[in-house]
Amino acid sequence: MSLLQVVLYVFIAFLGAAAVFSKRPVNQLFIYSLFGMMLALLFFVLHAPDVALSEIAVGTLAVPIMVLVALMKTGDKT
Amino acid sequence: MNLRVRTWVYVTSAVVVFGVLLYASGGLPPFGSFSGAYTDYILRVATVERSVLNMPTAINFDYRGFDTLGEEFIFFASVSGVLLLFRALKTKAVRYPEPMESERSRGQTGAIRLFPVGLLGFTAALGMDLGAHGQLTPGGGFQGGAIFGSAIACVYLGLGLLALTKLTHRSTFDMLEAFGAFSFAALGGAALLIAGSFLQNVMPLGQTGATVSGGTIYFLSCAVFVEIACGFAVLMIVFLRQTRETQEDEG
Amino acid sequence: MTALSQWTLFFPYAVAFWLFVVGCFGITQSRNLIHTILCLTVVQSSTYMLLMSVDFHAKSGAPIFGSTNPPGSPSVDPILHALTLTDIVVGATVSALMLALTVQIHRRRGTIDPQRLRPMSD
Repeated sequence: MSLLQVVLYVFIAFLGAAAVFSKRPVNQLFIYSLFGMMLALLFFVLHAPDVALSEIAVGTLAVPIMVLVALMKTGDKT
Repeated sequence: MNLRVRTWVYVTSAVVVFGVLLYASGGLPPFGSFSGAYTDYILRVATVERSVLNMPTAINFDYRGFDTLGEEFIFFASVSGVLLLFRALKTKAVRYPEPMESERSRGQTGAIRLFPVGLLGFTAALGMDLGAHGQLTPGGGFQGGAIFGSAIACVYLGLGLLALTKLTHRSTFDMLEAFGAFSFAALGGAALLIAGSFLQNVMPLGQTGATVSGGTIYFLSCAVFVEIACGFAVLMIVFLRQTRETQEDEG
Repeated sequence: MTALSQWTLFFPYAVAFWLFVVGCFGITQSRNLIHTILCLTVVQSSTYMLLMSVDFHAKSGAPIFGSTNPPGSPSVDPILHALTLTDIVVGATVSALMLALTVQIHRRRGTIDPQRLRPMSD
């Protein structure tokens, strides 16, 4: 296990917990997209470029936009 | 059950589950030393049999093509569900203030407006490139489609909702999505008629490394690209339209 | 030293299980359905992490052949990659469906706090 992998795993474990424990959904969303980006980086390091590409497209672009619109519609006061 | 009881029930069961999972991970191959019997076989024969260089694409669209058909139908059903739910929300047509004419955006310069549009070209080109060369380089219909479809949001970011509704026709994307899903199943059915088994690779394989190679793999990848790209475009358009109705509610 | 290296061999799986447990914790504690959906995507990510971690092989390259790794050279398992990459894309649309349901619930009931939502009475 290389050092880069260890660092990424620790970082992902931390970011995932941070995304869950942040109470305000807007904060959570930004942590979540950072989490998705780190996940993509990890997949790239684990020799899975295909998976990394789909995680980048979905985790950092499609899901955040839809969640932002849903937050706006549900009148979250943050 | 109040929150306190629920938390305690969860924490005790989570500790047990986590422990059991950790114990069970001892039965998994240690990190970095997995080798499946099927892996070696696929790696040896796939390039020879199907003349593709990207193994995940070969598996997605050929060896396990039937699974991909199932995934496609889940995708199609979800997008249809979103459309159905938002159609129920539709209210009476009202004139809306165009987002880019609002007070906030008047201070934006042309460069800020045009930058996302430039990004749109770049992202859409990247998506198409990934979708079209799935058998050679990392990518394929799924990733290319997701990137291409999400790129539609750049129009909204740069030019606003009116431009998005004018430039994109949602029902066209709707139909194209259904067309993509249909052509995947139709290609499989055609193979059933020609060769006697569903999704069998019946087309000439072409030269390994050529732009069009891998027989049906290329065409199935394109069909999936059309479906996923249009599905994501529909999702983006439908969701971004909701921003308009909020303004209507408040105004 | 051996103890440490022994530990790192199963650390990636522990991270995947940790994400699973933490995501479920978020779901039980959630006061906002959008928060619940994002927690659910974290739980989903844990399965991707587990599959990709099992799949990794230290001495092999990516399963995409080119001039530096000719066809047939050792590579990580492409089957799990194929499974995961389709599931990531399809999972996003399922999240979209859940978000649409949330918007609809807010429209109908005026709240998206799962602890204040009660079964439909009318």
